[in-house]
Parts: sequence; C-alpha cells; structure tokens
Amino acid sequence: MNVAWRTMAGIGLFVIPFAIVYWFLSYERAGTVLLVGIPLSMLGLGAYLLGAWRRAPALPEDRTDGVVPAQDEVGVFPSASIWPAVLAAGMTLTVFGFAYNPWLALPGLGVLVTGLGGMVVESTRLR
Amino acid sequence: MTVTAPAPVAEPEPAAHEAPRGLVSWITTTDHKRIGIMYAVTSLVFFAIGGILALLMRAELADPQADLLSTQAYNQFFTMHGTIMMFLFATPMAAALANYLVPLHVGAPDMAFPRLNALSYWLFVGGGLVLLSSFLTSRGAPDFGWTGYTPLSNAIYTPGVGADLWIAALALTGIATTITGINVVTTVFSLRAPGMTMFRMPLFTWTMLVQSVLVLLTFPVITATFVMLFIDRNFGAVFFDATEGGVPVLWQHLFWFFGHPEVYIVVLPFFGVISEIVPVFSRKPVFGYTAFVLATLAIAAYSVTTWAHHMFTTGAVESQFFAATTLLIAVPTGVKIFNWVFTMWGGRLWFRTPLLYAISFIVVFLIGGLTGPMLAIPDFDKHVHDTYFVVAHFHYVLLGSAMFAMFAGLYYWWPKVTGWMLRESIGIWQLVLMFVGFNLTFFPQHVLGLEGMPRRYVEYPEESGWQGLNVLSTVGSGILAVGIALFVVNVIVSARRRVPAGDDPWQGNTLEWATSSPPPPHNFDRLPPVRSERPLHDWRTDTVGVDAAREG
Repeated sequence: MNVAWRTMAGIGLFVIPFAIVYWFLSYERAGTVLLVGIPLSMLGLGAYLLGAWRRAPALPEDRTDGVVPAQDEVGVFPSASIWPAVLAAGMTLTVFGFAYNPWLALPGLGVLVTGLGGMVVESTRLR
Repeated sequence: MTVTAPAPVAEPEPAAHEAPRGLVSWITTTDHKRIGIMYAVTSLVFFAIGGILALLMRAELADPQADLLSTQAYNQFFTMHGTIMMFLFATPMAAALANYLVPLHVGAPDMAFPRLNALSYWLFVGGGLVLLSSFLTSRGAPDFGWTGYTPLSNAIYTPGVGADLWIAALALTGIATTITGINVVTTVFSLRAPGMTMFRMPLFTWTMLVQSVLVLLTFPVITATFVMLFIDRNFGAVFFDATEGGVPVLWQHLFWFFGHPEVYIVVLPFFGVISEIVPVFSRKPVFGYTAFVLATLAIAAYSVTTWAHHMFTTGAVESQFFAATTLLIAVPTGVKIFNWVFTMWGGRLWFRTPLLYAISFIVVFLIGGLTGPMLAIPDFDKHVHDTYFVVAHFHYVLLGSAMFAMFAGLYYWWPKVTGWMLRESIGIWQLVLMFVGFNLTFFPQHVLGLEGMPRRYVEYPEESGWQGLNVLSTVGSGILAVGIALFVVNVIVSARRRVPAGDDPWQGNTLEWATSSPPPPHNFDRLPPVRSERPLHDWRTDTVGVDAAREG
C-alpha cells in the first residue's frame, strides 16, 4: 500500500505545475478548474490510501520474502444475483424514457427502485 | 517448491435454491470470467456493426459522386461509427480483458465488487441498445459527428429524439465504465495475493490500474457534460448557447478533457496485452519493467494536460502550452516501444500467432505515433485539421492498436478461456489479410489529407484526382473485413475439432497459467509463491513442475 498511495498522490502532484502554468498563460477558467480537479482528486485518493497503509502497514501482499502467512477469509463473494440486471434494466428504461417519452420513465423508476432494493437487501444478507 | 492454498472464500449458502443453469446462469452471473466473456462477445458484436457502417461509407467514397448513401445517411453513419467504435467497442473491450484477467493476474477469487461488475455490464448493454434505437426514430440517428460539437448538436440544429437517445446512451455507458474503473482499482489495491507487491504485478494489471484511474478522472466529466447538453436541449438551459450568454467552446473543452485521455483509456490496456505477450514469446523477462510502469504513470499524468490540441483551429486556446504537453507525452509513449523491442532483442523468439499480432501492433502503432507529434505542431495541425490526414492518424493509433492487440490477446488467452486452441494457420492468414487491408485502407488517407480532402464529406469533386486513392482505401477496407471474418471461421473450425490446450500452453509467466483452463469458480485451488513479476516462470523453472506442484 506504500506504493499505492505514492503513485496516486504522485500523479496529482505531477499535474499541479501544469495547472499553475496553464492559468497564468491563458486565464481560461474551464481548463484551469479541470486541471485543479486532478490533483485534488488524486491527492484525496492518495491520502485515503496513506491512511489505510498506516492502519495496516504489513499486509501479506506486500511481503517480499515469499513467505505466506496464514490468512483470514478474503471476503464474501456472491455466487449469482438477478438484481444487477434488474437495476440496469430500470436505469436503462428510466434514462430511455427521459429521452424518448417521459411516461416510460415512470415504470423505469419502478424497476430501478426494485433492483436497488433487491441489491441492498441481498447485501445485508451476505454480510 | 511448495504451493500455497489461497485465502479461503466464503460463499453464501444457496439456500434451498439450485444454482441457476443455462441462459439464466449468464444473466445472473457475478463471476468475473463470465462477465468478461459477455463483455468481449458484446463488444465484438458492436465492432461488427461499427465495421459494417464503415464499409458502407468506404463503398460510397469509391466514386466521387456515388449515390449509394444519402447525405443524411452518410452523416448518421459516420456519427454512429465513431460513437460505437469508441464507446461500445474499444472501451468495453478493455473492460472485457480487465474483467477476465485482473483477478487472475493478482491471484484474487473475483473482482472486489462482483455485483457492481454485473451491473456495469448490463448498463453497457442497455446503453448500446438505446444508442441503436436512435436509428428507428423518425429523423434517424444523430448526424453531428461522435464529438457532438455545440451548437451543431443543440435542439435547433439537430432537432428530434435521436440526439437525445445518443446522449442517454452515452450517459449509461459512461456510468458503466466508471463502475468498472472503481472495481479494477479496488481489486488491485485490496485483493492481491500474498507476495504480489505492486511492483510484481503483471504489466497488464498495471496498465488497467492506470487506465481505471484515468476513467475515474474523465468519465464523470463527460457524463456530466452529456447531461448538460441534455438539459440545454430539453429544459431550456444555456450552458452552450452563445445567444443567451453560454459558451459553445466550453463543450469542446469538456469533451476533449475526456476525449484525449480516452485515447489512452483505449490503448493503455492493449499496451498491457503486448507487454504480457512479448516476454513470454521471447523467453525473457520484460526489458525495463520499472521504466514501463513509470512511463505508464507519466502518460496518465500528461494525458490530462493535452486536451486542447484538438482545438487549435478555434483560436481560443493557448497553443504553445498544449503543443508542449502533447510533444512531451510522446516520450513515455516511446519508452514502451523500446521496452518491447529490447525484450525481443536477443530473446529466443517463438513465432506463434500472439507474437506475430504483437509485432504487427508495434509497427502500426509506431506509424500512428509518428504522425502524433506532427499534429502537435499548431501550424501543421491547422493545415490538416479535419482532413483525412487526421482520420489516418487516429485510425492507426486507435483502430490499429485496439484491433491488432485485441487479436494478439484473443489468440494468447483463448486457450485459457476455453481450454482448446485456435488454429495457427488460419490465424496467420487472418493476420496477413488484416495487415495488408489495414495499411491499404488507411495509409493512402495520409496523402488524401495532405492534398486537402476533408473528412465527413459524402462527395468530392471528380476533377480533384482523389478517386484513385479512395478506391485503394475502399479495396483495403474489404480485405480488412475478410481478414477479420476469418477469426469467426477460425473459431468455428477450431471448435468442431478441438485441440486441448492444457493449463499452460505457452509456458506463461503470470498466475492465470497456474490454474486450470478454463479456471474454476473463484479461480485457484493452489497458488504458487510470488517472488517476482514472473511467479509462474519462477515456479516452473525451479525443481518442481507445474503439475506435480499442483498435485502437491
């Protein structure tokens, strides 16, 4: 994780001088906002990863000696679920409705909420 | 040499229900491998649709005044061709490879968020269907080009629901791509096997990580921009309306802030594919692993600073700044060419289809890459802007890299995915036809562009002298299409009389070759220790062979 936060923050730091130079060359607001957004996003991600690394500095994946300690469960992985397809169908119908005929968005929203609810309930059960 | 049991995976009890079978099992799957396969097949279907549109346009252009397509149809076709190839083929094909390979590469049982993974695939399918549905509307599909420039794409110049469906579709696929990006980043950061440090990850996984970071930085921007255009068109907002105080060129800033990194979003995964294949078939470790990773990170950082080289002709951008950043990005991109060439240099080259496709990729990408710095020079760019020179450049860079590297990857990983081999002989014929057809199609377009032939015109003057090169280009596109179709033939022929592949037919370096072909659910029964970026090579060349170790 040491490498992870450094690479993410590094990309952010790399862009900062470009943002400064761009602003003073052009005084163009849209591009400058976009360029400032990059370091903010990447430094935010880097800070999160730095925090995670400080909490757990010696993870099995970061050992370089090839020795593998006993591990806990990696996690819970769902075997099959219909809800992602339902949620996607709901989102598609809703967005299609907004573009084509708003009345179609209503049943779309219904399917969307059903799919979302199904995923949330399933997540609770998986935990 | 010992092998280790991977960390246990908890599966929820299926309760009283039986595991789904048949079609339902594909619709409900959360297995990253199945989702990867579905992504790949769907992307190839869209590749075929986009390709047919291209063939029709090439047929039209073989004659200066042909009336095979109406002006309206031609405009719709080039718009939908670009949109489909960028958003429904090239980008999701990278997602297909990432879905299948990243968990296997890092020794994980699945992606970090399997159901979000399924959601992203179904949103991609939904977006694709919504996009195609625009053809069925009364005014047809949008006809303003895949770049959707305002004010051409506003409700006055492009009325009708087709453009709204285009926006809706791209918003859906934008969300799908963003979700995949989140999944890849989280998987790489949190599900690596013991010993799999960041600097031992396969280079494909590195490129997917960096590509996903670029996705997370740019796809939300373009998705929001599409929503802004939708609000402008339907709810009276004026973001891009100059008559009401809006700024049309703002669209170009926002679009290209996404659009240029999108080039790297498309090609970085294919750089990764080539970087996996070249060392295996050169029987050498990759030359300059660390340099490759740093160059990939540098490309990501530079790529968000170069967007307005697409906007030199607006006269509203700081040309020197963008010329400099665009020229700079050629340096880390060039580093990769050296990585591949010096990996092959002095290696024991094994000329099988994956390596042959990889070498073709390098040649084609180099030609496309050389015209990139030319277009970075503002004065030259203004001369050839919106001509066939630009069309040739980006087809060499985008189609060349995506297509040759995709087939390199398909031939390389096909045995892992299916458990049987594709025919080498058909693969080589396919490559020859594709290479000849591709260069015949797109190389003459450089000359056409330099002679001033503009892109996106359905007709051109008979006295222009451009017909000869256009005919050459059209014939080339036909040869290219036949070459691509040979892949389908190869799959059918190889499927009828299957040659078993075994677990590791190429003597690969990375963890996917340590498991069965195809891999079981949750991927690994045993994992070799990871002590370098070539764990399987280390394992195989030690005292115990793969099979004995797996049994042990």
